[in-house]
Amino acid sequence: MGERYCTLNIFYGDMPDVILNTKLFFNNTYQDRWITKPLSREMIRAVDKSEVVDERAIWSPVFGYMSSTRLSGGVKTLILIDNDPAHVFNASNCGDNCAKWLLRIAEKKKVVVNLRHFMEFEQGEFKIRVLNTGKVVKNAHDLIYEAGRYV
Amino acid sequence: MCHVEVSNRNVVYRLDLHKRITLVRGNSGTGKTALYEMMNDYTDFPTDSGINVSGDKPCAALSYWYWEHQLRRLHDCVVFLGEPQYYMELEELAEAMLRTDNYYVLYTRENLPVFPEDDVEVCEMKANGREHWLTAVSSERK
Repeated sequence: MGERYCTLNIFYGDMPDVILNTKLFFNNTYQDRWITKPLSREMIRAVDKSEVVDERAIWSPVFGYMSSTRLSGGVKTLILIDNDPAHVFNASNCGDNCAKWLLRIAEKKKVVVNLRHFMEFEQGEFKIRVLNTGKVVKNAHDLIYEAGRYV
Repeated sequence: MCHVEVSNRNVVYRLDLHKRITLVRGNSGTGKTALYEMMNDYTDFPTDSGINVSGDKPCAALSYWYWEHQLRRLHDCVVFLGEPQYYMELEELAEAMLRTDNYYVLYTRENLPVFPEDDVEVCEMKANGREHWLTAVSSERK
């Protein structure tokens, strides 16, 4: 695992002013250039098993050519978290297969997300700050101990 | 148990529901949202949507804004809900749901202590190409 430059900041449980319906927010706010960024391409390939063709077209093995509005709720949420620092998003729209991508986004920038369930992060070391307590934890065991009581 | 099938030109969902409340979780990209959106379209326009729905009971999606009105009219159906966190009156909704004889399919990763444990099955959506189905995760709510 590469060095992590930043810490993923997570607030567990109810949080004010969070965008809960990330699918709807994405559909009405995303910018075309977000879709073709290398990290977005990687996330879409890994999570949705789909390939970005260009800013307006994605190839899905299930749906064929489709618009970005048909991406999964998890990928939409990841792309918002990566590209819209003005808002905090409900990352509980993401499955556990999105956990490593949250950590990846947080490698390069400050990221704050809200989780309303206990997401399974990868085994091994990571840096997550539980904003409810301010404590930084570095493995799954410590994360359960620190955050489990809030969700 | 209750079996329903939902399909269009791209996908088919074959769902076996063992309890009254099915909480659907699992990885992103497995088609949970697509099913809910199909059921929404089917509820608004059963014929015009072109969506095929068959099985043991009629199916419908619950609207965020008109759920009280809808629940008064839905009996012995399979009812699909989006993320329950958007329903501001979750406890009222849960109580109303439990007063009916419908089956419910909810997409949520949150714990919902408002439902009796015996009435709940937690499932994951699985997909292989256009085929989608549910598998039970555990007899306990996670």
